[in-house]
Amino acid sequence: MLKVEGIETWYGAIQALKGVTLDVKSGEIVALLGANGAGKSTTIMTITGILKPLKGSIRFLDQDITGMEAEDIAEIGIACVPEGRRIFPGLTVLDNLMLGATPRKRASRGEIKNDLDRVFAIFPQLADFSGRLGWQLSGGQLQMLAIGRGLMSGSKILLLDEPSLGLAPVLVQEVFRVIKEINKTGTTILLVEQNARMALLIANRGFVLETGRVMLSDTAANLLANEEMKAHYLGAHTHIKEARQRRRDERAGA
Amino acid sequence: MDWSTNLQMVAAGLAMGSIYALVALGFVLIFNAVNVVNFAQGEFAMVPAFVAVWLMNSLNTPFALTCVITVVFMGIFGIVFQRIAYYPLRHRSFLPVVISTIGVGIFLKNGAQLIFGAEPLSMPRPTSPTALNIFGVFVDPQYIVIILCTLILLGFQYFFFEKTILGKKMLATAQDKQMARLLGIPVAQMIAITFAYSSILGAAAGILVGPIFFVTKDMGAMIGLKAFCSTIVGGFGSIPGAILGGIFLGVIEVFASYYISTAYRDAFAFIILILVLLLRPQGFFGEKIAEKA
Repeated sequence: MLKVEGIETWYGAIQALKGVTLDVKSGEIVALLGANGAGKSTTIMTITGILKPLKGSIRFLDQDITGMEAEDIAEIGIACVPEGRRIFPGLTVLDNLMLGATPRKRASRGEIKNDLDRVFAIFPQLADFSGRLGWQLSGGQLQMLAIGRGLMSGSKILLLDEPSLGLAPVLVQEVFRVIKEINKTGTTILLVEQNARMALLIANRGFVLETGRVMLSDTAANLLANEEMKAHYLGAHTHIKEARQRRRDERAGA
Repeated sequence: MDWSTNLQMVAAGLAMGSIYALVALGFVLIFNAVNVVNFAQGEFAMVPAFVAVWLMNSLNTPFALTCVITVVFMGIFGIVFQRIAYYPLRHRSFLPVVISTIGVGIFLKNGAQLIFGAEPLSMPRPTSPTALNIFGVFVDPQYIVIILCTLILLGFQYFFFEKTILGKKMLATAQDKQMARLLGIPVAQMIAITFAYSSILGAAAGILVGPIFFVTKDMGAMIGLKAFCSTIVGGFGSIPGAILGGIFLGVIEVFASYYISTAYRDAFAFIILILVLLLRPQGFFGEKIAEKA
């Protein structure tokens, strides 16, 4: 469904992506994993057309979308829930959701109403405060609204960038449950996450990025069992040890 | 110092304030959409005044038709202005665009002089020149027209941004352009429409104020500056702030020139501006805004 081949994206003189290749098949949840600065968000922004790759190609449903404008890519059916949620702060919850339906130019009022009801069924809370303004919402509510807005586009694929970031553990579980549910109703998902374990638990396959390159790609089950993955991305234990060591080093350095 | 004189001045102040408010709104809408202060905003009121005078005096176009033509002309003018003064510089910082709007403003002023001459022109009045006597208060009917037209425009604008999806898309574009693009909102179009609408607000201001003042190439500069003061007094970036700031300045100006000094009429707006900047720099309705992340 989505095929990304060898894309190289630059921020001015800095090369953020050094030939990223990945693919997402219809109906899948694919996890895009990696540390901070590995190029996960850059990959998403390049797929959506906000950033333009210098090399490589992006194909969606057998259409070459490399270099297309973001507005047009949204229209042909790639929805994105970017990092930081990006809810319009001065608009109401309902307005934010309705704007999500922008790509559906030919949809009737009834169809959009149906989709709105579907979003409200997934996130009952949103219906309760549909008149509230974006800036009045809490982090968890913002994330629900952001995903809901993404769903309103009726797109075949949803790119989710760090949906669990900054949420309380209970909410993180809730978000992953919803992602799984959305996927079951037919939406393909490319999920960017730092929380590798949680992501792989719901994903079919995963790609691991490191400094702008795909270092590993496999089925989710294999990645969960992979020793290298365990050491670097899955073992919370090692993380803590490393962090402690780093702090000790820093103190020694200072 | 009787009450009828004071009420007369309130009417005059509300009328002038409405003009400032219309131009101030243009400032704010463009600023919100593209984060740039359009220093040619005053010229957006000067150009339509000349167009209207020319239509009425040279072609004997009836007033209503003149209004329609001028508004349509200014809508297109706003889009062309945007294409020339803003669009090529859209990826640049604040300053190049500001300088570009100042440049186009100078061009427009001198263009007006070249085409229409340096002599001040008078615009035919759509209203009777004799003051209306409303319960003993003598009011120029043009003031009432100005106030009513402004109210109608504000009502339309409220409806447009609150109730229409196009209005929401424009607000979304103003709040987060990148996210708007991700949702498939044609951002460049929304910005062009914003300029067109700001320019139409200028058309309203120019046609409404024309019959009171002479139409000159410099009329835009003074209106533009005072409208800019209004936006700051009201709280920069705030729509209600621009409206109330404009009306506040208009009323203060009329009262101060009567009670304090007519000669310094034009100075009062700036005195208020300085006081507001000293005492409440965020303006009446402004929030203390941190730089956008």
